[in-house]
Amino acid sequence: MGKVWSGSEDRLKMNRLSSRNNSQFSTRRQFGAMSSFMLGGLSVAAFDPMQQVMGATADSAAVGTPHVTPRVKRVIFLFMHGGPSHVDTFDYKPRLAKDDGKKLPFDLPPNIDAVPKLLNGPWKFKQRGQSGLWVSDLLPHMAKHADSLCVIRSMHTNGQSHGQAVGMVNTGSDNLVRPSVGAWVSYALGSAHPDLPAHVAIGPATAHGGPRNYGAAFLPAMHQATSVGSNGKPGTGQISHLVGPGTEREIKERFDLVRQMNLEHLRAIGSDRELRGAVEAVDLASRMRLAAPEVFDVERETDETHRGYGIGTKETDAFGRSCLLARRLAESGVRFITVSSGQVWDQHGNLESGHNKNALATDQPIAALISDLKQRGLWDDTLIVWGGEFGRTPVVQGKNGRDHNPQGFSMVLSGGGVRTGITFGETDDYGYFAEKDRVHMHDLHATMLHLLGIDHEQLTYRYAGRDFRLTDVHGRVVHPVIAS
Amino acid sequence: MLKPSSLIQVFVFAFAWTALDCHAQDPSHVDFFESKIRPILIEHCYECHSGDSAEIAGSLRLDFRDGLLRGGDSGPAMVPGDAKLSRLMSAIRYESSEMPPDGKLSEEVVSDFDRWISAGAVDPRGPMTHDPQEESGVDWEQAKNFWAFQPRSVVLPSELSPDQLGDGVSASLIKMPSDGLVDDYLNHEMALAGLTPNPLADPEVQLRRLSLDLTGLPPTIQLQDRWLADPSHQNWVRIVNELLASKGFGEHWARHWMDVARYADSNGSDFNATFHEAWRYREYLIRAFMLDQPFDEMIRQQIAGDLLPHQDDAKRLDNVVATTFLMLGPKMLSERDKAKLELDVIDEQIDTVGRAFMGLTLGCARCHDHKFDPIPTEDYYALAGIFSSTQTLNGESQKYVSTWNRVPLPVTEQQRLALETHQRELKRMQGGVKEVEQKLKGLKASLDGSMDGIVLDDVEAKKIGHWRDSTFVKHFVGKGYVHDDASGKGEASIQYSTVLPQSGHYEVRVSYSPGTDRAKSVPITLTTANGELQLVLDQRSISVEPMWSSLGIFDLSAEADTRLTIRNEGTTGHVIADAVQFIFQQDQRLHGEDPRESSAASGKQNAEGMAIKQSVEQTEKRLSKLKGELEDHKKNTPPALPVAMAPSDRAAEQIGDSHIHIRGEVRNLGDVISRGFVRVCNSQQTELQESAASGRQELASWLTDPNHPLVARVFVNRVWMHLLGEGIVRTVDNFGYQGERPTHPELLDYLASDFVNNEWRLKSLVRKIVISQAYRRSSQDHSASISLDPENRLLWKAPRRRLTAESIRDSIIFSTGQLDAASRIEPMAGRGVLVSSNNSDSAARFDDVALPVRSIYLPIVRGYLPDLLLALDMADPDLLVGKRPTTNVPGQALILINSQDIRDWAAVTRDRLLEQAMSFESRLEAVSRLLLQRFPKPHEIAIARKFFDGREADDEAWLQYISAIYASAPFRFID
Repeated sequence: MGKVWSGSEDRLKMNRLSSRNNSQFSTRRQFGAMSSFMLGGLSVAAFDPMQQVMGATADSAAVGTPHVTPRVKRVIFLFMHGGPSHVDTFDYKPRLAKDDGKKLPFDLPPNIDAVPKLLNGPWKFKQRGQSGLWVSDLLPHMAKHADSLCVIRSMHTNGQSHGQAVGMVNTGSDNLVRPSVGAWVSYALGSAHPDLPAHVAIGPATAHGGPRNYGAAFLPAMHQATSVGSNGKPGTGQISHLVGPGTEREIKERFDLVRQMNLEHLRAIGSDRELRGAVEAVDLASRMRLAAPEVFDVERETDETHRGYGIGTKETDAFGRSCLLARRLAESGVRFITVSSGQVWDQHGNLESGHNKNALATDQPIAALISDLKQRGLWDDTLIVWGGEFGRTPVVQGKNGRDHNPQGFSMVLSGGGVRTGITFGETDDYGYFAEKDRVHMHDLHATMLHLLGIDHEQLTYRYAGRDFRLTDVHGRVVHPVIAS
Repeated sequence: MLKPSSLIQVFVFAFAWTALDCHAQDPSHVDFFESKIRPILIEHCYECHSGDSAEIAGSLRLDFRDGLLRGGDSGPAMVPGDAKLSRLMSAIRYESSEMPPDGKLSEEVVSDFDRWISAGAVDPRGPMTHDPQEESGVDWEQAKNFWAFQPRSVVLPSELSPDQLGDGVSASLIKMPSDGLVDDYLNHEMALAGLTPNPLADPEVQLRRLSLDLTGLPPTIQLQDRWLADPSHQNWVRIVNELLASKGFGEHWARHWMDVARYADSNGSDFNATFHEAWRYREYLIRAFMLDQPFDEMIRQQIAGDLLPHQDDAKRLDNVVATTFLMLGPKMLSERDKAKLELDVIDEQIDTVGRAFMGLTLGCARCHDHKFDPIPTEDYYALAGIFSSTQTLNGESQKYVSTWNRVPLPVTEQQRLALETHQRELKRMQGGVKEVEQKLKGLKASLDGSMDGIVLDDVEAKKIGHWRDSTFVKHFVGKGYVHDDASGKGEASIQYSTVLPQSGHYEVRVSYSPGTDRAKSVPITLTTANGELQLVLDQRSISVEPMWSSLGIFDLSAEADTRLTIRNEGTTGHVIADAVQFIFQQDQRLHGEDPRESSAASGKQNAEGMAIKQSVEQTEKRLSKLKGELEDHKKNTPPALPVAMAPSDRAAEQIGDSHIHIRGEVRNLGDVISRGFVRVCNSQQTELQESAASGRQELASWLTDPNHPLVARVFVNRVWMHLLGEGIVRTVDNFGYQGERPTHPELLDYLASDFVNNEWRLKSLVRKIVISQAYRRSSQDHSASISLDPENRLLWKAPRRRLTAESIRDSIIFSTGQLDAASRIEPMAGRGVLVSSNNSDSAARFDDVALPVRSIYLPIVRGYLPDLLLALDMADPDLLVGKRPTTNVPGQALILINSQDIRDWAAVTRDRLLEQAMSFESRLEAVSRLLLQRFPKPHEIAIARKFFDGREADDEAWLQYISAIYASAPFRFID
């Protein structure tokens, strides 16, 4: 079964027609098998004669047999770029409040600029909902959904600087160029909509790797995210080049003319698979041009919905639009949606004002997204992941800031596939190091794939002589956070 | 500590167990192993660590005693008698590798293992008699039988035996007409398969194909005319030679190699540093391919150019610039663990050299022996020693952020002198400006209200113990301040003393630069006529900006010395001592009144103030004059001395062999491996002879040995792919076991040997291929041939190929008639250390895509690739790309049809075509010849007629028509 999910950069081999040296040839059919779900997306790969040119249909995405029973159909990753402080949001540390201003009783990790003096944040923690989950006053809206959240408090990751850690959370690699999580998901599952991409990045950052964080690397290019906007803002909210110069009539006229030229060219040449791929792609583009603008148009929602997401209010407008767009895409069959906050959570100084500002911008839209998904029955088969590339130190940096903390931090899951109203794992008394039930970023990735029905050890792609995985040679599924 | 009652319980239990089963409780007895250890090993460990495991994790086996002793990738798992030193213990305690992974063993079990090992790890299980997994040594004889590691052998087509003919194929078919050996080899295979090759393509199709393949640009109308007038073989060869001699050839083939060299003008990754000097490498490639420099020399230059001898400056420049090849990979420059960063950089270099030149995936051997190819980890670290002896990174551009090595390029003596003189003068002038600025600052400070009253600076005070001078933190009186270095506590004191001009109330202030690392309770003693007052000062903050803290108002006498002493006794953190100030308080003084006007000393001070003000004005004038001179001088800066982004050998004491890094981990060291090369390619010796240098020069010689089994084959195969769609080995970057086998091994060896014999010259190789019939064939499908060879492996037809991203853009601009032949030399000139601010809110743009230059001259800024080229599958500069993926995603159609740039270009082309008065039919013909380099086909004329239908004179309709052709299949494909 695992082979169904394995692909390769190489083409299917065929025996050399001459029988000499026959023993040197082998036939590898994985690619042929894979192509059936590669086509789940939008693309028609040219130059692969073994791959039939076919229009994608709604059910062509449901290909490949899942390794495990899928619990969710899609992932929305709310990427809090910069690294929000876990000890000021979800990881309640009474000792930190008690020992505020005292010296950290153990050594700092190497290469950080903080001084070993504990700093308690200004936000009060309270137990929320029926579950009694601890959430601070920084996130009052998310706190209302406490019973729908699963807080992993023992996250740890690689990379003391943003670049490495951002690569780690988005691609599973802190140093080398690797496909992004969404690209792997797109590669495995394809899109559930014939005219939409499987992988979309809303407001992705241009720094810290930029497109690499939602790229395909060595996976087929179609698995790269279609990006909308940049740096925490949804921009036009639309896929680029859906519209172009001229009136709608002119654009349509161009599409029709190109289509005609291609078809007649193909007819004159006779059969040609490569050409047919190109011809088909124009048709797909034409359909996408008609389908996507509607799906991507958040203006079609009611005023009430807009207000819920904070659209129209200065502070929440951008992230509210991004979250609402994420919901529309989730509803339409997109498999992996990253919504980026922009690199705003990096409070080396002015923790209070900075975090307040960021929470104000994101908290209400996120809570609205959860409510909205629930109301539409989508929450049950969606996995929401909230978090940054790392957390922040419980000790002070400068006068009133916190440095990066990949040694221990929290990430929050929500959705029908996970156990909610619980915390999993623990950091030490001050929230510095993940101690109990440690969850590495690779483990989180393994768990995300598992919830989608994918065994992270079996989803492989052959490139440069070896089979690559999202989790490299690491990763363990964190079963205790999965709903029974 | 245990309470007495629990102690008793422990004894009771121990006694009970001993009584029940005495041997099972004795960790030195075999029963202990059988009852407590073996079951745990079987249940929790054997799945991954025994002979039955699908894959032995970490190469560690726990199903026989020696397996534990010998250990795995991380070393021995156990030291009998010493549980502390045993990795097994730290693993099951979850202190190191956290085993078993599905959950920690109970404390009791962990303690059993501890006791068992401490007691000598008695284990009745015998040693393994045979362990095939352990035979990691490569069987070299066997390995070398693989085709790619075999020496090349040239078997001429006439010698190929006509045995094993397909059914019904007569031997006479082998004698097909051909123009040379390339066709002879191909025809032979086709005859054996019973295939009939396609006839030659239409002449205009042939010419378009040739021109785009050789130069990346379509043929001009003049060339089309010349060719159509005489489509003879002689004329073909003449045109081939012309195109080979054009600059376009150098540009187009340089771009091919840039794909392999993962060329970029910025680092990308975490810290998108500008590669200001990468363009020199691009220019070197264009120059080298244009001049048909032998490729073996180009390999030597790219690996070790900085070490090569040179006869003149031009050669030296090429040599050094070529090594930029090793530097271009994306690097995690902000990685704070520099040892890890170095290792990752080396890995990227080894992987690139391996795949670029040898088609070997050496990167696989970083963590373990290559799973498929005969490349043991030792071979990887033999190469790693060469690259770790090479300086690739050098220094930091800011804290924690590494930057790379730079090598000065040759300059004339005159240039050097001019720059040196200029810089000396610059330094002198900057010194002058700084001096005057300091003076001015001093003058202004003395005008400042904060300098009222009587001020005693630290230089006038009596110091005891160690006080260090500093000017590090701003705001201080005079030329600086002193501090106690946060050391020698209780030993240092500083005493300020003065006789005040009159008795009365004084506010006493001290100045210092505050900070979090300052002492918070500094003892101060104020000695007055009335006795001693003990005060405490918190130096973490100040009360009066910019640098003062008030100690309070005191009644001080003019009759006796007033002394203020600052000590560092009992303090932690830095104690700062700068100045002390005494400000007289007039009883009637109102709150907020300016003390300068009411102070008793103000008359004197006002007079002084006037003098100072005058002095300030004069000094300001002088300063502005000096600054003007400095600016003028800067404007006349001669060009900076050129440098290349290139490696150097490290200093002699840093050159040496590398350890194996077990599982590729930075601090997990194994044996030291002598520097050397890849043993399976043993065209000559594979170990480096005693060398005081890195060994790159030896590596370069080893690679370019004419008998190296891979290097020439790999390069020739790349060239074949660019001309015929697929390589003879279709996995162009992988010639190992996991790669494909050659479709025509004899042809590959013939071409490679011929290439080497022709001094590794690209142009002769290209010429040989493009004058073959195989190259010039029609790409038309043929059902009989398809059924025999659907993938066209035997090349019965020419492959239909998509133009490269660059060729599509360049062809469009070419048709506007505005393509600028000049190259943009330095695309990144004027950019800072970072291509854009690392703050992700900055939206940097690189809009050069609209410029009418060839695409090779556009900057390749990682993370900011132009949408148009990206959509058309340009090479990802983060990766080595031997064969570009060709996709047909709808995004391509969208951008080709809707891009504003393309629309603008279409408008220029339209204007150019509509300038001349022509009939509709002639105009259609002109469009077709300009854009598609052929006369329009009847069906194309029909489409056009229907489309224009009364709009023949409408500019907008022509714009639409031309735009559509740019997006159409006939334009985007090479037939």
